[in-house]
Amino acid sequence: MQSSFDLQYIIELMPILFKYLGVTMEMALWGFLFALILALGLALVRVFKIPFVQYIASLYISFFRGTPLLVQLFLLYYGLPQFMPIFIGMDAFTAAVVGLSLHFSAYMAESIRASIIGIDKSQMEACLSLGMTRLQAMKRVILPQASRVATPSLMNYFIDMIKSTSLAFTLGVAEIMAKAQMEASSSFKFFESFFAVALIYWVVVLFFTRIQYLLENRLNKAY
Amino acid sequence: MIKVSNLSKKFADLAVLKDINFVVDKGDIVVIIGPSGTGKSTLLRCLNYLETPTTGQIHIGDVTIDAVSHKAKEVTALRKQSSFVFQNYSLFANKTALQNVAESLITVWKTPKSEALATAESILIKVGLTDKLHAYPSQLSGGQQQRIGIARAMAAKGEVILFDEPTSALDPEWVDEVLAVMKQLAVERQTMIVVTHEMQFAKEVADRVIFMEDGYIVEEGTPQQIFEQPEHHRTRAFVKRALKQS
Amino acid sequence: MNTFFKRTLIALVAVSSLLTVPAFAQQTVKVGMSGRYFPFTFSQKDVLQGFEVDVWNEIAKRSDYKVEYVTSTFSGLFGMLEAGHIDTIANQITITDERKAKYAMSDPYVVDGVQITVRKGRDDIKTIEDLKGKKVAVNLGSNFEQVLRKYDTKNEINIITYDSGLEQDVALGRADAFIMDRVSSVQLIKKAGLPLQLAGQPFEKIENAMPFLNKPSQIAIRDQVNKALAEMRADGTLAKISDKWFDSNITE
Repeated sequence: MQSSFDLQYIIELMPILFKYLGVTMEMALWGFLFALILALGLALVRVFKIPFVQYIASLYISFFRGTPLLVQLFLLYYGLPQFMPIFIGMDAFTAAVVGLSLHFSAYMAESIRASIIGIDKSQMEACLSLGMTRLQAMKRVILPQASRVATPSLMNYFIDMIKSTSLAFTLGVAEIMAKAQMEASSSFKFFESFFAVALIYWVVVLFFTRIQYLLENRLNKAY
Repeated sequence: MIKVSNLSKKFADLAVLKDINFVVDKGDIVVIIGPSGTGKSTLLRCLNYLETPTTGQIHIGDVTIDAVSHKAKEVTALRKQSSFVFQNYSLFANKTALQNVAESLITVWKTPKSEALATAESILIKVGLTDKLHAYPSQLSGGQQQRIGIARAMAAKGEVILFDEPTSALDPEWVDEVLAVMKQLAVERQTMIVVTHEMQFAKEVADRVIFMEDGYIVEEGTPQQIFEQPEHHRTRAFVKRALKQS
Repeated sequence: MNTFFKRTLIALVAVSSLLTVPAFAQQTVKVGMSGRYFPFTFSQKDVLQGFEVDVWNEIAKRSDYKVEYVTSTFSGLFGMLEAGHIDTIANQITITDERKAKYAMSDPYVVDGVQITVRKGRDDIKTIEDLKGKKVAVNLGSNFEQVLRKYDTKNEINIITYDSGLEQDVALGRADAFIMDRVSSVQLIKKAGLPLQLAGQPFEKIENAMPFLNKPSQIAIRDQVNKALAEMRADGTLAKISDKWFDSNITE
């Protein structure tokens, strides 16, 4: 089949897709924020070995790491409302943010936990010897050091999350992937549409890779 | 005043400390010597509850704590009564020299930040690190790091500073500058308990020397008693060997 | 009762009274569609349009509904209906026995036939018999897969399901044929500029309608939709909308 590459179409499509980049980024940013909070909680529960709760945390992590994000999104958006009508009120955007948060928090919890455990235990002892509580030690000394160790992998998860928001189109969220698909199905310019959307993701990821680089430099200044 | 009574510590079935009793008066400099692996460091760590003793009581300042019935609050209170100088310095890697020293004042003693930093600065000047206030540990030599470690312990307002082999990890060239700081503290009658292999330091600076072996206190006395007229044959053997080496 | 609770209660009463007011005003009906099915529902320059949109705008006008279009992948639409995220689907849903048993279906508003489409120049496929041993594309979640299986009792057709872009794959030669309703096949060939052609005659009549959940509140909407459709059929509006998109009347 012969069809020539239509650059003009891409140029026309870009502003349309850009309008929905906000939705994509909003999902990624909210998702990352909630995932980070959840992950920190999960990691601390596991590091401090809080009785009973730590087993729930382990189960949670195992489930959300052991099942595909797409399945989790479907469970949340299409499945839960059949059992719990309260979830009917949850719109697709919220479901996507919740799903992304739950999924990525499981991965991020493990990476935060590994970073905390990786900090030499003498750092904790030094804190305790001065009369600090474990929580104070975490906040003032261990977490700041662990955050430096965890930053590269957490940023990688963030970048992964930006790309994963494209799955939200399966819930009907009007984000850039959904829009590209819809425009393509009336223009039949599939290559151009998906190429345009790929370019946008790429540029966004490049931007955040740069941010990651700057952040790591800043965090490394003590070392 | 520090009073340790009937202290023992077991790791699983291995008894590391056996019925330890001693008293340290305010302003005393006590040096603990003995062969490696006889429980000296464990004893020091028990005083700070970095290790939890199996039995026994520890009394420092106005806190008394019993190993069998201790509570988390008591442990924190006990730790505030003492501070610790680690063999490997254990400086906070994410903080500058100044922040390391000021940390306990800010977090534990709730001193206003500016005041804490001023105090920290004056202590660092005292240990000779005027030009390293804003350096991170990774940028400093072992000797400089250990002097910050001592400064951090000095700032913590404890009754007593516990030194756990403070010069063992140092290259020989840095040992003297650290010992000099400790000697200065001794002159000021800062209460200290020091675990060390530096026999010369023990002889010169200690008010009292404790000789430990196999988890027991074998003998204690003035440096003169321990080094020149030891009563126990094991003390005699150890001292002879140790002095020959140094 | 302390003042905090009093204030909270007053606030709650105030808010709930605000919320009940719109009940006297327009009812909002959420209509799900893929937005990926030209020319029934599609997006061009970011404007959602097509036959389904025109039909529903007209139904809404006649029923004093406020219509809200929810776009999702076709395969997700029934899940959204089941989960209560949307009230109905306007996406050429074919009436089948299973669907009639499960949902309250509206009256049919499009009548059509099942059509085979192949790459231009292929003349080895004319009837469903010729599909044996071939790769045949259908849209995921559509009922064309079931239609094929009904004829293909010995499992000789290699059926591939697509979420979108099946016409592309047939044009590229990755699949031998696709099965769709005749009307959209014709439109697709015309619009896509892809080397495709209809193969043979439509082989089964299909009637398309809108599904609603079998609940009193939803059946009430269904009944209102039927009433509006009947009016639109009677006064020629439905035929006019059909003409606009297909140059022919596909509604009867």
